[in-house]
Amino acid sequence: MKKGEMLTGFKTMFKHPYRRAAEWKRITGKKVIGCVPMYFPDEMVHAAGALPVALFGSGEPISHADAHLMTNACDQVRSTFDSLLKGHYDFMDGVAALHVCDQVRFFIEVWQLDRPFPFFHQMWRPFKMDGSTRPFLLKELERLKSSLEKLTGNQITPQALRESIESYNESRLLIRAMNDIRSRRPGILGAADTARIIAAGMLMPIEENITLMKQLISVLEREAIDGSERTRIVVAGHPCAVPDADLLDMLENYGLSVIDDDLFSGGRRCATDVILENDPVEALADSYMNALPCTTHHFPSAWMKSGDDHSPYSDHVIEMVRKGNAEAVVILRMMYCDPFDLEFVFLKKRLEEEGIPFLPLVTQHGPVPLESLRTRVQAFAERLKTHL
Amino acid sequence: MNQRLEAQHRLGGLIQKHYGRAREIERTREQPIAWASTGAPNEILWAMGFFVQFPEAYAATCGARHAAHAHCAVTEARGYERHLCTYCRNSIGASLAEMEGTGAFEPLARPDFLLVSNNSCILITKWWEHLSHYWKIPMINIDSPLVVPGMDRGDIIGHVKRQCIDLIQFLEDFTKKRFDHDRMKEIVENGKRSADGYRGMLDASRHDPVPASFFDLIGHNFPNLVLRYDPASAEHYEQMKTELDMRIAGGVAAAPGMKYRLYWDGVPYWFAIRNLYEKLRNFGMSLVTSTYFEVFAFENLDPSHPLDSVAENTAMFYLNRSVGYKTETTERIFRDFHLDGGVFAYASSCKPFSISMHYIADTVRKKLGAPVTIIEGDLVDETFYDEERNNTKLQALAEALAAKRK
Repeated sequence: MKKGEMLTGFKTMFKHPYRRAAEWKRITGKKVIGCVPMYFPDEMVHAAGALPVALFGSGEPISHADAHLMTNACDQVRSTFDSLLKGHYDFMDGVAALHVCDQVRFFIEVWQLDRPFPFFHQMWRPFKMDGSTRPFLLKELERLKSSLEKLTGNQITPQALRESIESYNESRLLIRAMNDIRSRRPGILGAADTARIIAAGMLMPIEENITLMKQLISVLEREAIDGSERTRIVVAGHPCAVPDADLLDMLENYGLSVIDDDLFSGGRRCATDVILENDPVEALADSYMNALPCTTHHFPSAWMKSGDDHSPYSDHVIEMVRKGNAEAVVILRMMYCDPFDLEFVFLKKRLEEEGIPFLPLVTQHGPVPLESLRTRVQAFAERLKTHL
Repeated sequence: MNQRLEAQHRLGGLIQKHYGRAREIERTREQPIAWASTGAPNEILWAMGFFVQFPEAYAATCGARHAAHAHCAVTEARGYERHLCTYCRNSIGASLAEMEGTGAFEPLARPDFLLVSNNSCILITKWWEHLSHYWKIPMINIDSPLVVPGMDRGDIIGHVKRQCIDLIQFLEDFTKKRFDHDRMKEIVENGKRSADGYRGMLDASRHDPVPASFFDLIGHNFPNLVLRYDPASAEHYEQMKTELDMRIAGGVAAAPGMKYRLYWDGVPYWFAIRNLYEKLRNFGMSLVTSTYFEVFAFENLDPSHPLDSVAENTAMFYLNRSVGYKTETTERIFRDFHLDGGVFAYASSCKPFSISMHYIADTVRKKLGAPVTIIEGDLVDETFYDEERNNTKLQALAEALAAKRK
């Protein structure tokens, strides 16, 4: 298969996010669970014999949700609720969410009360990551395991969970391989395509995703693109939602090449594996405890000392820039995302201190008003070109 | 407001004494100063000899004194978005202004340590990270899960207790002092007595006519929040209860001639208290009570199990309860306090209060048949407040109440 055909396939999957899941359900007769971004342990759902699919909302205008939610909710939350009210999730057997932020935790509760599903599971991942909070996280993972076993009638054995984790680790490995090719040969894979490929992987059975990713990597490895004249950048931000494709395309049309990113539908999805040493539930707990710095985590050790400036998230972004030999950062800021907006103040300061050029862009639901951003992107790209 | 309680004078004295003492300690450094969030296990700080101040309460004061907007403007200049919590922006802005010597409003005494719990919202921990960053002092967050159906209460309390033990160990190192369990027990005893008195004060509002309105009581959160470690807090409520009972016995109303008893949902718009009071009074509506008071109830304190009960208090903090629990509490309050309708105060920068507000208001309206309205504004930044628009909504509420009574 050619690259263009494969990318079109991913594009179609992302355009019709639940078509494959509905078909899978019809054929297998198994359960489909919608998982609100971010960080839900898909492995556990998979080990129960169900299909986890990410609830990204949609690009459709928000026409129903605002009658139920106040409008200071972020676009991801409003769009997801809107999709629910429009019936896009009707075929699903349940919904699950991890409380990553205030909006998700209160929105999901309203959902459970207002539009209940037969299976509805809310999970707490401690906001504070240290040894004192790990026991409760383990309890939460065990509680999820019991809920899923009850829903599906399948026991989640250690062996089943181990195999699911191995599948997801393989998927993460393949995404990392794809990202590595993109970093070595800028321009070989556009940022919008990359985001769609990774997001589509969250909408299909993991086994299919692994097969497709292997094919894609094989195709990419055969393709001869150098791309060395392009300006290497990192994209950060947009924690939950898949960024607007036109916006990402616009960045690259001005000669910027995204060689790494910190998107949930991107580098963040594949950055760390679940290390399988002993009990697989413990392994999942450890993967949360050792997660990449995120604006939705608090790392207590960084804040228990006096007199230092800390922002583990900023350190992480700067590390991406250094490691990827990038020249600049584009920061995508989703409207009303409180955790990111607060962290942005630190990130901005740290990037200035490090002398790393950056361009913050605020995004809103629906088609991005590209013209209003075009001049800023163009000026930024030209400045980088002149400066380099 | 027009029938002034003696307790208001006493409250003013308590507040003045607290802040005066803070200034003195800031000068003498005879005690370490902590800034803490409302729902944090603050009994531990008091037992360790800290003088504790509350940035959220301070933000409310700044809002009421029309000083918050200037603090928020300081943060906007630093890149903080306007839609971020205005308590948070007020606090960071006031801190920056104080550090830079540009503050015009009386600041909190400078802190040595920061304690927060994410039991009110997750954002608050980020807010405290920023305070820690600017003040260059350590902070500790107590992680407290949102209490949702299916979770085990004992597991949640155990989770918080483990962190309380870690906190004690950290503070022993920080202060070079041993934790005093006897002092902790005494503080929890004082807190329990204060919390009982606070509930007594709130329950007086079940009476019709209401002896003290929501507006009269709102400031009296202060002793149970800030001073409950001290017997002065319980004494305040005990005296207040006597005063309210006398009003009830004498048939004295907070505001005579009110036709409708109303519920308030959400954080008050501190800068608009008087304006709202007068507007509602003109419509014959009296604000009687609110679930907002539950935030300051601290009712799980038990001197026979000091640390466990402090952990339970933190874990079961009202803001950390599920939307279902809050809805049931709201319905119960409507019934117990014989309320006719409700004003739901949407706060544009406060997601936890606002996201579920529509659902709670709608449930009350449908299940109890009570007319409700949602007005719009924000906690302390008055630039979000559209007085005329809200007046129209309050007028519509008054009309709905009148139509229902016909």
